[in-house]
Amino acid sequence: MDLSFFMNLLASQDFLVRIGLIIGISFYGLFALIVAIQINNLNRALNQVGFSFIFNVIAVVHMLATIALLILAVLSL
Amino acid sequence: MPDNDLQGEFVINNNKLEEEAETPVAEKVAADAPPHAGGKLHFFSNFCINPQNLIFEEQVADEQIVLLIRRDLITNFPWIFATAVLIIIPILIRMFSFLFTPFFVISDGTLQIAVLFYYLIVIGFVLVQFTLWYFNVGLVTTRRIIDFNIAGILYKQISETKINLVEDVSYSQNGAVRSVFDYGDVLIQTAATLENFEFDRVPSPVKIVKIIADMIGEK
Repeated sequence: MDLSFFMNLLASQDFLVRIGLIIGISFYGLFALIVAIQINNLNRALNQVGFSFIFNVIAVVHMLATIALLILAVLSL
Repeated sequence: MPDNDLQGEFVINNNKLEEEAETPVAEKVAADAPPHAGGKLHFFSNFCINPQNLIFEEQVADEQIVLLIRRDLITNFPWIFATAVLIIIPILIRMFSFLFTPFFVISDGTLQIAVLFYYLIVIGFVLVQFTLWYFNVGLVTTRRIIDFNIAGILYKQISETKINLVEDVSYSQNGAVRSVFDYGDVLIQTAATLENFEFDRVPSPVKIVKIIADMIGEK
C-alpha cells in the first residue's frame, strides 16, 4: 500500500466522518425507538393522568428528531 | 353479678372505637398526614398521600392508593450535574478547536450534524435517567404494597404483597447526606417464604413506616 492511499483517506476525512455519523445515528434511532416503546408500556402500567400523555409525546418527539437527523445526514452526503 | 357493669364513658368510648373502625384506611392516613403531602400528584412528586390522578394497571374497583413514594429528589443530583457538564463540553471544545485544526478538518455541515447528534444523545441520557427515577415507584394501597423496580430501560420488575402478609416494617438512615435531606431505606418484611420489599432512598422514612405500621396494625 503506497502513501497516496493514506493521503486520499485523509483528504476525504469529511466523507468518513459523515458515514460514521450515519451509522451512529442509525443505531441511536433503534435505541430511541426502544425507549419510546418502553416509556409507553410503563405509562400503561402506571398511568399518571395528565403527565403520562406528555411523557409519551416527549419520547416520540425524541425518536422523530433522531429520524429527522438521520435523513438530514443522508441527504447531505 | 350483672353482665353490663360498666356504664358512662366506657359506653361512649366503645361507640367511638366502632366509628374509628368504620373509617376507611385512606381517610385515616390523609387525616394524619402533613398538609402538603396529599392531593394532586405532579411529575416531580416523590411522596404523595392519597394521589388523586394516578391509576395502575391491575388496580381493582374498590382499591384506593394510600401512598406513592419515589426516590428522594436529591438522588437525581449526580445525573443532573453530569448533564450540565455534557452540555458545556462542546462549548469548551469549540474554544480549544485550534488545537485540532491542523490534523482534523471537517466541513461546517458535518460539524453541525455532529453537534446535533451529540445533543440528541444528551437528551436521550436525560430521558432515560428521568424514566428510571419516575418509574421506580413504591405504592401502598388499601389492599397491597407494590414495588415497581426499573433498573435499566430494558429491565422491569413489579412485585407486590398483600397488606395482611406484612410482618414488620423498619427503616435505616445512614450517613450525613441522608440525615440532612431526610431520606433513607424502608424495609418491609413479609412472611418467611415470601420476598421482602425495600424502598430505597425514599423521603421521610419515619412517616412511611408509621403509615404502613398503622395499616398492618389494623389487619
